[in-house]
Amino acid sequence: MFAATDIREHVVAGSLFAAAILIPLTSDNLFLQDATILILLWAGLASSWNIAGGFAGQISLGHAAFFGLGAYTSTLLKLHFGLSPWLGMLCGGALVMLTSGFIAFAATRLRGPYFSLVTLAFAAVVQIIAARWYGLTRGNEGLSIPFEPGLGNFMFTGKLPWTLIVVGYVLLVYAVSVWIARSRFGFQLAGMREDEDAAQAIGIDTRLLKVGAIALSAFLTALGGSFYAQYVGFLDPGYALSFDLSIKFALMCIIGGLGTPLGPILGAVMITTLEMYLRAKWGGGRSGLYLVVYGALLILIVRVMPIGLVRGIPQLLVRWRKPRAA
Amino acid sequence: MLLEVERVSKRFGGLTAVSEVSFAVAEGQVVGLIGPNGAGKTTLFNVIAGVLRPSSGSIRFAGREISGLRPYRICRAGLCRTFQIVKPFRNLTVLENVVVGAFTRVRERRAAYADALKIVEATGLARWADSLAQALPIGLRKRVEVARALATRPRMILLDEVMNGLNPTELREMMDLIRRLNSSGLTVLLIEHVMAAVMDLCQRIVVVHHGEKIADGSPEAVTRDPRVVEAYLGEDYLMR
Repeated sequence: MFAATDIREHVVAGSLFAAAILIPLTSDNLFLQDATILILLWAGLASSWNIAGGFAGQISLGHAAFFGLGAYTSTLLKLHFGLSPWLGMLCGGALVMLTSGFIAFAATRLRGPYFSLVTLAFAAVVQIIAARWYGLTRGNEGLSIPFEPGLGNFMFTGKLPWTLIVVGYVLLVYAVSVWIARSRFGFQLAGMREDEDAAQAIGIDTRLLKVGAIALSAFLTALGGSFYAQYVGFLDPGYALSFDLSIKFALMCIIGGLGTPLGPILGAVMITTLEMYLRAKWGGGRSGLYLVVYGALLILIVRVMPIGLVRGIPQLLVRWRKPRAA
Repeated sequence: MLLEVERVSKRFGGLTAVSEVSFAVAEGQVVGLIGPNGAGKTTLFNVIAGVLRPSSGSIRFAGREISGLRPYRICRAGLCRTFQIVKPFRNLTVLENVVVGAFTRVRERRAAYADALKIVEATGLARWADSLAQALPIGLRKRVEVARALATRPRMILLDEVMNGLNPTELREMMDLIRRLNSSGLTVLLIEHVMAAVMDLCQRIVVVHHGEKIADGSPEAVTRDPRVVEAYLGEDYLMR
């Protein structure tokens, strides 16, 4: 499976990044420009989730908490202390790293669905606290970040700077993933994912590994959270800390291919595009219909390619070529 | 003595699975651990390998107390085990399985692959190096289990029924492998029900029954011990 991290994947990823940068340069279509940025953000977030859920096999259903904590940290530091969101983003990342590391440590004996439940419960608690702690977060009214363009303020008028930053973000997460797939850390994670007892028996400290993988994954998720808050300019617990968000990270990875660097990126592109298209086409009149179609398509994709796009597409190509050759 | 097990007991609530068992293994020996099903052999392995904490007693490896250490530390100390119910990394190839083991001793990817390739060759798995572990028949999976353990460069290996369920060819290959490993200096403690293999390979045999050690000695002496015959081997074995 590690051989799959080959040059073809880098070419696909590189072309996607290049195309994304070209869009704000060549098109005046604001919807398209906005969609590009959001798709890339999702790609980065899904890739971050993939480090815990894919490479380490620790299926988290609470990554929305890490996303939201990152977003709230940079936003609150900006609103109360005027701290640059760039620094706020790093503070959020550090806070989330500690929090997630602690949870991973505490849940170290829990495996499979039990671990997932702990993360789910944690995210639910964070969401409730954020919604109730009105003095700090203004609860469900949400927080607005004043629009003051400037590099130091992490706020821009045109879409190009946003695009460049988010491409940088996805590149960072992609690079980390490629490194993991080839490194000692990644091989040991794979061992732990496949069989935790066997991994311990051959000298792998699975507790340390789990804490490391989850903290890294959560840190990168938090960076995306801060970017989201800055880009959208508004933050509320009903979205930024929601269960839907956690599910979406996981879904994109499962569709794209768990434990591969390119998988979550393809999954994010596919799912976000599909969702946006369906919503634009059917979202108005027959409300809710687009969700039915969306759901049906997701089931279909998972049915046809249970191993994800990254490994599934090459298999399909091979199958198509064979009859022609014969 | 490389491994010294001293009056080790393991109780689960009211059940005593291992009771006051003592034995030692000298460096370079092949020692067999036999006994009827449920005698406590695998529990004893789990206690030695750190999966279970002994209720009492002490275990020393290379002069150092290892009871209570976590499994990964015991492996790093040079004592590695295989599982009776094999646990291959199913979605990795055979070579990758061994590479994960090799990474316990080396940090560099190239060095880990080099080590793993050597071990895959030595264990006769080269033909299947690029097959997914889940695609292999049980005989080969058992060999992957051994290869992966060897990649951690142990001084001593605990083999839990690696010869059960093998066909005659596979059995011969596994016995050859164990003999070769031993002659290159590896100490072996093995649980086994395939008596012909145990008698052939082991210089010494420890017999447990109902959690207690009932015999300890050369294969010849042990097979003539009436208690062993009664508890495990059966009258037929003595007749032959």
